[in-house]
Amino acid sequence: MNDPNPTPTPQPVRGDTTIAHRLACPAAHSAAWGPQGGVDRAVRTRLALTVVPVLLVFIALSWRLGTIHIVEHESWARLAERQRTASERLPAPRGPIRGANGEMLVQSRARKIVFADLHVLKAEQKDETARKLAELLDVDQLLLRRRMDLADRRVVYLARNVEPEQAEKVAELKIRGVGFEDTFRREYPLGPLGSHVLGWAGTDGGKEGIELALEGLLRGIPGYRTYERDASRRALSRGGDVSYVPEIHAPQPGLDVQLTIHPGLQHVAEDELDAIMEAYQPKGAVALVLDVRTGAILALANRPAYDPNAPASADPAHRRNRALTDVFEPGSTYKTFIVAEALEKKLFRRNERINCENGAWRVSYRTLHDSHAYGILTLDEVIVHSSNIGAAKVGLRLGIDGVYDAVHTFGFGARTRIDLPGEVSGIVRPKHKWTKDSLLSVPMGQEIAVTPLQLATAYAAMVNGGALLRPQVIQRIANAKGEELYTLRPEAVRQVISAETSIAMREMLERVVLEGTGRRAWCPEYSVGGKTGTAQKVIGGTYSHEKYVGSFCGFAPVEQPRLVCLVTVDEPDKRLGYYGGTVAAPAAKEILRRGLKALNVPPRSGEAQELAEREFRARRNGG
Amino acid sequence: MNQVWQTTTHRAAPVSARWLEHLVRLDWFLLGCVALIVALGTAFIASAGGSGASIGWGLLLRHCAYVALGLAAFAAVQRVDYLVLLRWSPVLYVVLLGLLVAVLFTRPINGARSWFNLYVVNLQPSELMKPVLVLAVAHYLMYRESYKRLSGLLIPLGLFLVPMALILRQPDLGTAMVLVPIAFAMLYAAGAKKTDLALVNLAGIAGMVGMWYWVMKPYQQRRILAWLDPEQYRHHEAWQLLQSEIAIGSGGLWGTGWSSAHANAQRFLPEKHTDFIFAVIAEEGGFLMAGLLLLLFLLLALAGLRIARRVREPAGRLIAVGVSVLIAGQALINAGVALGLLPTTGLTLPLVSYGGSSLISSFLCLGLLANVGAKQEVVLAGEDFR
Repeated sequence: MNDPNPTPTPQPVRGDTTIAHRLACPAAHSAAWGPQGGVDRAVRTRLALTVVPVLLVFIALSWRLGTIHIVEHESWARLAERQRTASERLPAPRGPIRGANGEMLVQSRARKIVFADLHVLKAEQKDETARKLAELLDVDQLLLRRRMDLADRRVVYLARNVEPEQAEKVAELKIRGVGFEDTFRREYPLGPLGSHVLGWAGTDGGKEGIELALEGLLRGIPGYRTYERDASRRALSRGGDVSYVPEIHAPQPGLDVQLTIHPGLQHVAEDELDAIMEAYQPKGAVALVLDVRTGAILALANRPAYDPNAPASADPAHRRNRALTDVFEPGSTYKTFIVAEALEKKLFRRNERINCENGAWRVSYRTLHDSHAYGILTLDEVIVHSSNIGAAKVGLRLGIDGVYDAVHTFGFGARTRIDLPGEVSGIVRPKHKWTKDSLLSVPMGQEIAVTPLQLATAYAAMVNGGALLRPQVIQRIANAKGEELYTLRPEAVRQVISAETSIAMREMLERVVLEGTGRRAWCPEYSVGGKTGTAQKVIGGTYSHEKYVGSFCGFAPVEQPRLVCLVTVDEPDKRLGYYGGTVAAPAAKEILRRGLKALNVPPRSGEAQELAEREFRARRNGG
Repeated sequence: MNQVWQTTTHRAAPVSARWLEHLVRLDWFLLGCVALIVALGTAFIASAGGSGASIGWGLLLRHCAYVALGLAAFAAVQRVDYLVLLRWSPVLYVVLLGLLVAVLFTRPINGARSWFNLYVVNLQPSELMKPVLVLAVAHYLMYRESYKRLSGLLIPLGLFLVPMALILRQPDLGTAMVLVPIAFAMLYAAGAKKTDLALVNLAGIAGMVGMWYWVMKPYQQRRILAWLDPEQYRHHEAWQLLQSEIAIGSGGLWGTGWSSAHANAQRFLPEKHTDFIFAVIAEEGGFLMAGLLLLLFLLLALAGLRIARRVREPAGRLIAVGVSVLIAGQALINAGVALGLLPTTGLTLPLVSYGGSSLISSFLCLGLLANVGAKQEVVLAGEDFR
């Protein structure tokens, strides 16, 4: 304001307050507020002191801010991370189980669990929701409605095994508070077929059979996925951090297991058992087919059976794998082992003549009987005609050590170590408890109890050249990528008899079928050998004359054995038939015949068949 | 005619010039602090109002409207001679006491009767009471010496206690408590004896203990217990406190970034855009931004107290002290709550928190401060009268 106007201007009361001057030299003006123009000293001190508490609080807050922000940053950030993310379990599908040729026996299918979040689902929507879901999911509306009122939990499952397409329809309803979870359902497409080998798996894993035995391999490893969530623990679908990278660990599906079970053969075995059940009304029946060269189990069937798709509705007794868990006194089928042992130890020659005492032999306090009276029989004929007296005489010559060896060498009294759960070792009394009586009983298959599996395994060893093989059901294990992790290799437990003895036994057993007790097992296509057994069951401490176990253990072809088939029939109705040769042999023959065909073992030519048939008839007429 | 015109120009500058001169006299340091605080606050209101990485446009727009209203109020108040406002302060005080009584008969919002529902905005009389109270107390104290005796403190304390009691009835513990430091600061600056103030302080503590038993509601008691032992009350009373600390702690030195969707405060902290905006700033802006904000409030208080030192007119001085302590005190208390140093009270962060009444009240207070600071001093003597 350098006004050139000379008119005297009234000066501003305090110095030059023109704007230009104030901007030019602020110091001159601030001096006016300074000490010399200052306020009362005491008041100034007080004003200065007012700053002190403010400053102190500021310092305290900054200190605290620094502590939280910088010193404790890590732990707070960890807490933050934990509360804003959550992880979701991704279930792994259980591995499939296949048959010997890759047929699908068990598989897992993707299913959805439909659940309700009761914190989100509105109370007034519950009726409506229950009605709609009941319609779509085919479940009881009242049941659904009642589940929605369970007060003690937040999430309730409304339906478990929902097809993905059905779940899609439910999702389209867009009901807030209804959610889905991935799950898998175990399916057994062939129903009861092979149920005792396969077993079954519930929501928490395998319970029986292979499902239980290989639980750790079949189960797979579940994965997980992290996601961001809000304060009420819901996943953030939008408005979430675009830079948030969810952690995803893909689930690893369970391993792919291939069994030695041949579904076609299994089917034949089960059909035959069903026929036996129908014809002889027994309490139960077992059929076992082994490959004598490898110990692989090609079929294992029990009656009664159950459907693993609905294990809960089956009688637990029906779920028992009787071939492994149930023992029985084998009866005559056992005689062959004593004879084989006698031949092996060269205590008998095959044509050695044995006096069979015309059907009744008194030894100390006991009298042994044969079903038919025989005079003198060769060792072979003792087996062919299944003479109890003959077998007892062989046993007597073997002595306690010899008979006991025969029992143990062939694997009785010990588990076969098959890859299935629940196996028992059978009952063999300790050697020091054996008496002279045992020498009479054991050779005719009494006083010891065996499992059908032990019996079939021992027969396989007897006819395959003498190698006792561990029975196996797992052919191959591969991972989901198809890489092979395991493949079956035959495991020899021990050599039980020499090859020569084995050949001798084959010939003997073929004669059983051609002219002895097992004639019903004869078939024109293949040469069959085998031994019948008709054991009285022990009821209340004595041998029953009403309850029997009829059995037949056969093999074929005789020249180069491939299959062993054991059929046991527990307590057939005595009026309908109970001899092993009657109730079990035809079934075993049928199984062997069709099994060999399925395995592409060439049958006899038409000419040879006729020849064989003529010989068979001739022997019967002659015998 | 010509002469007359010339005379008038010299005796009173033209309007534009007076404006300019007033603008120069304003404390621009103070205003700079205010501008920075408001800008910072607005930015984080935009972030806190949205969910995740999105921006809460609606909230931001309303906040800006309140800021505009506040600026208008500021402009108006800083221009009117504060001596005029002082003269009217008893009337304003009585009117607002009336409003504080009237508000107790409204329908409660969030469990408290603190607001008049004016449809467009919710008016909170307790917020408006703050500047008026400062004015009224300054008006009472300015020509007196009575406060130098203990008995003379009764009336000025009464001026505080009556609105405090009414605000406590709402109930709004935070706003009531923030009046305490103002009372002490103003009485101390006016020249009350330290021993007297210490006695009042003791009485105040006794009163607080009494309040615990007779005035405080169980939920208020639980808040204090929760503050003392957050783990015990983790899921209820201490939830907010814990979330605030988690948010601040995960911010670190640099923060998670403006409007970052990582932010915990966004998702887990209730009242994130009002009472706990400090936690949002501390998380997204980190130690640097939160520290800057605290520093700005400190500088604002220092600027206010500098004005008080410069002003020699006693009422103006008291207004400056009162307003400085009000704004800084409330800011520091709010930050203290967010940091877990003080129990949760429900107090806004002045100039930053979303909320019309709070913003406008703060701007009114600052208007008074600027007004006092820009008042042209009339130097009559080198020293004050004694």
